[in-house]
Amino acid sequence: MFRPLMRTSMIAGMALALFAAGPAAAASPWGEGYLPDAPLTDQDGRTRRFYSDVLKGRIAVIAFIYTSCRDICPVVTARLAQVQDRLNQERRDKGGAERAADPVFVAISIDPVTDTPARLKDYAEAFGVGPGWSFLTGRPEDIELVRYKLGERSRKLVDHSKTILLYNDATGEWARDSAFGDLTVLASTIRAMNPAFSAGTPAATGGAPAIGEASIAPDLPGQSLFLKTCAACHTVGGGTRVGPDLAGVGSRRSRDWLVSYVTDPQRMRAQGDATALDLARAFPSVRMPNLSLSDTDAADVLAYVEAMTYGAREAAKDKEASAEPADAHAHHHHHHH
Amino acid sequence: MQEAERARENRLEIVKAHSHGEITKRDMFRWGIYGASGLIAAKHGLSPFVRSAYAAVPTGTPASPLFGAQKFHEPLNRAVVQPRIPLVAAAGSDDVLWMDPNGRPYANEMPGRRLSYHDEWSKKGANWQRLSNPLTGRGPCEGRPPGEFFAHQRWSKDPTSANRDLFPKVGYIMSLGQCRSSTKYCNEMPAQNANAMWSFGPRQAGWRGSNSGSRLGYGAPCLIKARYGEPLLTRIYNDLPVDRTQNGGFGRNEISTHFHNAHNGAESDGACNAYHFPGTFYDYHWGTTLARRDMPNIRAFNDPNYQRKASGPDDGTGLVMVEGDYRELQGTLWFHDHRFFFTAENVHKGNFALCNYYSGPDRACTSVVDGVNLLLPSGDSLPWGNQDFDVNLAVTNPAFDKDGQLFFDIFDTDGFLGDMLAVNGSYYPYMEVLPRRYRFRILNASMSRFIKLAVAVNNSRTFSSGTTVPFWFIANDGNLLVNPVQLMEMEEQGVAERYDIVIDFSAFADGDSVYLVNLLQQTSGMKPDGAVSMSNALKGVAADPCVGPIMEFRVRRGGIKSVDDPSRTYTGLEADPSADFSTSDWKGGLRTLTTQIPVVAPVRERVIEFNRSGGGDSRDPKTGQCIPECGTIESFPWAVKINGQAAHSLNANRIGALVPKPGEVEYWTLVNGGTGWDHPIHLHFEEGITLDRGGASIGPTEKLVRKDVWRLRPGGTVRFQVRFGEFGGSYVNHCHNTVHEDFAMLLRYQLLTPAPNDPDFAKTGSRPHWQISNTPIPSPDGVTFRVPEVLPEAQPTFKPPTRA
Repeated sequence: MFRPLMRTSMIAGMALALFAAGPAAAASPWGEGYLPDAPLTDQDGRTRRFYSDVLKGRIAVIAFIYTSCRDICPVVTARLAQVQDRLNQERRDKGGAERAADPVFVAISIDPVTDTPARLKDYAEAFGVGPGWSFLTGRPEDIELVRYKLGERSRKLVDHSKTILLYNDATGEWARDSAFGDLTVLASTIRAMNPAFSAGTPAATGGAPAIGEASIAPDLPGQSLFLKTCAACHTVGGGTRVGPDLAGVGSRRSRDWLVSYVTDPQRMRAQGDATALDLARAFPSVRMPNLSLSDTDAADVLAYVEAMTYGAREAAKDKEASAEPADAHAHHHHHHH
Repeated sequence: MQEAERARENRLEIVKAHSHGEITKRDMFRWGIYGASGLIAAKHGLSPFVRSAYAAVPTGTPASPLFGAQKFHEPLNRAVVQPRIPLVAAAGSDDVLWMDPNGRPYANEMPGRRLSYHDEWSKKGANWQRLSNPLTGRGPCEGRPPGEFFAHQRWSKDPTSANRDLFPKVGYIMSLGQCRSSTKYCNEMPAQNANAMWSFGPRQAGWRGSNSGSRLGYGAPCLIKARYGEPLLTRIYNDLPVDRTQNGGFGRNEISTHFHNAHNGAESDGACNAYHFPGTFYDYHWGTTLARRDMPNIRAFNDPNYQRKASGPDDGTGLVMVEGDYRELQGTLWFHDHRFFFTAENVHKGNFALCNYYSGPDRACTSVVDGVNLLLPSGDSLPWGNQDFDVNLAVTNPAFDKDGQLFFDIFDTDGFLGDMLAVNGSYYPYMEVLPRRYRFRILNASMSRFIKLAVAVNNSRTFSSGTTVPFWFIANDGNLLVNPVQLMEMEEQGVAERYDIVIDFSAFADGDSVYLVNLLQQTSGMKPDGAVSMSNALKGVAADPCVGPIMEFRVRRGGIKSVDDPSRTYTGLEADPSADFSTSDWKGGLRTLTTQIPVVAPVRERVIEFNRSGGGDSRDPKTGQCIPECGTIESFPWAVKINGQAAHSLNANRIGALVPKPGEVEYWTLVNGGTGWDHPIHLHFEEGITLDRGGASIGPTEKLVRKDVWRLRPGGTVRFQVRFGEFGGSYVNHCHNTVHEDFAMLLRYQLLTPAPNDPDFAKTGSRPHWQISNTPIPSPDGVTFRVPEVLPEAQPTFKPPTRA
């Protein structure tokens, strides 16, 4: 008798707590009124007012970019694209349609003179971002206002903030995060920006290991570096993403060339290396960035790629052995760049 | 006031103009034409030129309203000493029970236990409802993650266990709650709203809590008086509102309490991504472990008292011996929030408290003369931990909005500076002192502000105003110096640094007044501008209202009430038995505070560069030519080199495997790669012996002194010797400008303990910590774990690569 009563009052309490989030929006000093409503332009050339068209009533993931960045910033966009994939995948798995409550992604160019809408469009397509992602540029003074207000106050392009911002306009809440953390955790942090989502659902982290066990993560050299910085753009045997598939790259190129290219692609292009220039032509919108890898880092990454190549090849062999006729898909694995 | 508040809303223009220096007609024109709605100062009837009326501090926002508050009108809040709760081991389990004053266990307070309650909750057994979060009904009542990795290390009541002496004896039940309804910085100022300030306060055993939060926090810092040989269990309840948007504009209701820099297991370090939610508690095992406990072969054997000095005070005049090296004793510590991405907001909001570790040599009682007690100024009413002449001072740097509520700009990424200094939550307080020696334990608890303190005469019958008063510097970051150093002004003090000093007021007459003065001007969160002279500081500096006296000492020849014994009033005629460092024994080095830990050759050297700017520029290393141009390269948060081998900051397989086994000596060099910033870098868990600052000068308060926070100085370098031991798990090393910390200037390292096949395994009491741990992911519904997508910590398998 007693127990059901308890439940009801508990649920009622939770509903109240959710309601309480409503009026908070007005109280937040960092919502409408604080956020500039400057007219910006998206990658399709449409004028979008920053507050009323982009953020109002939405949950947003915001990052600062510039397309000419030759260093680590493209990796931020690429990793956010992975997060977006993951969020979309989870929604599809649950059979959900696109809803207004889905988070939107916003990439604000901090180099608006260079980054025209057309250039942003190429950039967005190179990363294969899904719908619901605005790449914004605009008049320099408007961009300056927007980025200042959001705490992106660097004095030089190369010093710009690599942190990402999460915002829920309904609650007026802000959070910071990093694209270089665990992407599954980031995806659940983004989902939790929606109080309706975070209430009553256990943290869906996918494939959670047993509590308190030692990690079963394999300790392959270069694994972490590959997953953090390379996997956002490259697969090993999974096809072309932002950049070429790296399966078998160790047999296509010389070791010295690979080390030089991985550690400093910019220099290779500047020196007129034919292969580097071919790659730049094949992937015109996003060039292989200079990630400041040392020779030892490069050795780690290449060892990992070789291990994964071997793994992919063995897996393919097994597949062929078990299912002889089905090789129509196998052709996809043989891109050569 | 209205204008000022409008200006606050328009602080973009204000700061922009400030950074431009001159405001041109073009600027005016541009703002008039291009500004988005609601942003143009002129449209609100406030000329942008008004900005020049504001000083640069507080950064990007108008001056805090003062409501007529006057400096030095109210007495200093003393840190609020927390009530001790005796703990008794439960029969038939390794739980500990919280005992009420009648010696019976509190009925409604769950016992402390080795494993988190999360473990039992996850089984969804008969007690499931009782073990759930009482406020939300969701998730377990304890926020500590489940499993052996988060079980308390070295937790055993078995009399035969090597760690029996670390089993908790005294408990603290604390609330991190909303501030009490009367919390004010001074009488003239309005009381802080419930969600303007969140801080620690004592919590009644069995208190149920409330979904909208409990107002149990003090404005003044709390103080835990701990002593070696009396291990603690500190239970911290999250009493903040369940709705995380109820935060008064900043702060996150998810908390993680880091005990800076006590020698504790990673599960009790409070920095391992294990934050917890409103309604839950987290049990921290603060075992008062003395470092080098596991290395009895490296004691200071040439000191006949080396064993007796490794001790805590008992309740009489005796000592409780503990295992460990007395040269590793700690004193002035603090604990504070460490919720990743929210640390700056939360600490600014008040989420910190103080803890003093008392020991045989530093027992804070001047009536015990046992050849070990250093007789540092303190008092003699209690057998240890006297505070009459031993005073904790926590300096904070608040700013207020138009309603006088605590304000923080969550978008100020350079580091937010407030426009006043508060001491123990008091607005420019005074303190009455007797003409004798006092010890002050000074903590810089701001977010981004550096300070540099000195002492000067305000009014005196004997000395002219502005005369600088010398004092003795005795401890840095809670670690005693070998020899006290006499100073006229302190070194700069970055966020989280603790400086212990002794001031002798005996030369002053009744009615004399002395100031504690901040000499350091800072108008940008990135670094201080520089120190000003004492005379200029006393006059005041237009650019920074925080330069000048921050606290007044009023000398009284008696009539001062004891805080240790409320029935006692000092007459001023009492003798001062505390150590007098001006005597020849101290000056000549015959008497010392502690003994130097020897500097020895390291097993490995690590170079950690913070805010490295890429790999340098694009110049060719051979020709020095730029191809195609000398562009600058994106900066990374940090970079690491181990024994000369560089690794990318994201190459966790290589850099994460930091400390493969306990006890090895390492040298760490911290480099500030960026030139424009100063970063106070904090190493968790162990102290380092400061060796040098590259080629730069190093003062006597740092040279060979143990520290846990180092100011790197812009473009600077610092090198220290460190040895890790006793516990395992994941710890961090990071910038303690708490705003920078939130921007990921953070490096994780894992200490691996001996493996089960190692003879030392049994001794450690650390179970799975010889292996890699999974990443805990807290949620309101409980903690889950993930195999790290990247290995944040890895096995130390480093081999120099060979080119094929």
